[in-house]
Amino acid sequence: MDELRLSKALETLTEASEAAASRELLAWRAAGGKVVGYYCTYVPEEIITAAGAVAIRLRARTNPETDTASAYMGNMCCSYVKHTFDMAMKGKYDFLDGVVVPTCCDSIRHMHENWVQYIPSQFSHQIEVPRRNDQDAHVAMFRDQLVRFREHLESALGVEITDERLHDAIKLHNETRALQRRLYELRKRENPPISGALTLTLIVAGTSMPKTDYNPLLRTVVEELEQVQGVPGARARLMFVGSCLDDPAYLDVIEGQGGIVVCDSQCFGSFQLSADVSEEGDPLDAITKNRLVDQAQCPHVSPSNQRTDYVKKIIEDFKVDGIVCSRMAMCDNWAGENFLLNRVEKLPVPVLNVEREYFSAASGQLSTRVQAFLETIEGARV
Amino acid sequence: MKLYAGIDIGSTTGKAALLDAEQNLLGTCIIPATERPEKTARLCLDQLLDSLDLDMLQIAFVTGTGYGRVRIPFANDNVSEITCHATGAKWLCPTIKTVIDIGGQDCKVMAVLPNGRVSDFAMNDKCAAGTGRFMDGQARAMGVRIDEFSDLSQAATAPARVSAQCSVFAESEVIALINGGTEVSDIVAGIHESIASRLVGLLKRIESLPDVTVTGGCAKNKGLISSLQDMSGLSIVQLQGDPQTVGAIGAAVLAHEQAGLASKGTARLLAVPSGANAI
Repeated sequence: MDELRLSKALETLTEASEAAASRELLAWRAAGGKVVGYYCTYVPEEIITAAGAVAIRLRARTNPETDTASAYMGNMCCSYVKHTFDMAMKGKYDFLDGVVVPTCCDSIRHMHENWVQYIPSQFSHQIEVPRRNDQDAHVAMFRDQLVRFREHLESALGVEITDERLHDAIKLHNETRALQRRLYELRKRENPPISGALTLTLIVAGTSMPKTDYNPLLRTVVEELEQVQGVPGARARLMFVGSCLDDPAYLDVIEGQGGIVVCDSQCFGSFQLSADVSEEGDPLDAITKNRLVDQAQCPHVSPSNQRTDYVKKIIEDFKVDGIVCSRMAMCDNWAGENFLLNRVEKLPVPVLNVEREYFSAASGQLSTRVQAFLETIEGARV
Repeated sequence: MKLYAGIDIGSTTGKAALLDAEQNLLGTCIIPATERPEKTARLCLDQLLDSLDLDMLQIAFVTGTGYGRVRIPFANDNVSEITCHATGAKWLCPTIKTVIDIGGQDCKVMAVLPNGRVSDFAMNDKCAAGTGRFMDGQARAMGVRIDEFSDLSQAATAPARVSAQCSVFAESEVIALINGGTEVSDIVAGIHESIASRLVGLLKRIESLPDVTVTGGCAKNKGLISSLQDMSGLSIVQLQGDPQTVGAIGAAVLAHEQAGLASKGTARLLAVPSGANAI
């Protein structure tokens, strides 16, 4: 194992995950490259890549204020959207050529409407995402949305998005997913060589830079970590379930009590790597099927059994002892999930329910609950 | 004589409890919280030791709990207050299956299994609703003392409805009631009902079986306990001693256990030993 090689790659990826705009992204931009921001795993990055642009997931860890956004968005809007919109209104997202905003929730939907009105110099495209995925009509509708998206992107960026370019993009993003799955595989071990917090840092880094920069860096990390022996002594193996979490510090608080987060069901985590896009046949068909059918689904999409089946599979594959179900305040999509997991499904492991904001100040409350939860899990081993 | 200490550093008060090697509860102590948890812990333990004519050097193991638990420099271990309250309540009364803790700044409910471990819990620490802090605010608004609440509520003829979820808004509501001529006793009864209904909500989140008990400073308010019994339909078992010290007692019991395990070199184990000899 080459410690220097590993630590250099980790340092680069960590810096990228913490910056408002990563060094790699700014270099791409400086060289004339286009950048398109987006919310949510239903937006096909592949189409953005095929347009010759880099897709960046919208985040706001460097923007703790919402004073501007609050003037445009109501109290019911979730803090994730408020902070990101605030950033955009303050010009901190000037490096974007445009954004893609799906209809995944009302907060995000209203953000699009505000963006179109107040930030017209950067285009905003809205993709309608169906609320169910179990009927042909849903699949057909979503594919049609992707056709329209491709057309809008072509005109906004002045490019042609050919099927060939789509195929190449699919291959590139599948490469990312394969590497991320290798990373997650390491966490199935009895003593994982990587914490949940650091894993999240690495996944988030991938959403902040060109994949052509990311993939080799991630490959380095994975190859080195595969040779590392994990340290034993974790009090319990935990799974994070909840509204999009892009803040490794939150997992640090959880893991600070002695448990280790070995997997997750969330969109800045395993959703992204859960299924590859088929490299055969029509690319838009393949992307449609990946996002709406094969990929792990967000609670935005019914029916719910596909999500609980996903959680149960992870509990089994990763030998999970307990679930921390963390909903962002005001998040409608995830509002029923703890009820589903606690009451409806008889899961083989206990669930801790917590709530948070995009910026979570009160770590004492979280650490007390997690500590009590670990004591409960350990008590059950008596 | 070897001693085992539990220290519970809460938002409003610090508590300490001492057990001997045979698990006799030698004494407990409550002091108002100072501005620093480590100072509160030291003062509280010293006061207890002095009152019993015992020495810090006799203490074999200290377990800390409460929000200030990580700031107790002389603690050997720290355990969440959820586990400590459950452990303490069960140790004092082995038939306990549900514990409701109404503290200074949070309230929580715990389901306790036969071996003393917590199987499930629900807590409110996001706001003052259902806590001592809530009653503090109302007491101020009405110009009465908290320790008068119990007697006042028992004189109520028609409990006022205090509907606000938020304690800050509830304070405004109480002022409006006073100005409207509502009797203080009725207002206090209304406040008790408001807290009780908040706790019933928490109880519904876990499987709450009898015997049920209440810990924490607010448990000393008989009017509140009476409202809670009425609204929950559960009969509340009163524990021996001061309910505010149950967390510290639980921590002392765990200290005694951890010390035994530490000397045997075995892994952390959280089970309540049977039998209790309390003073």
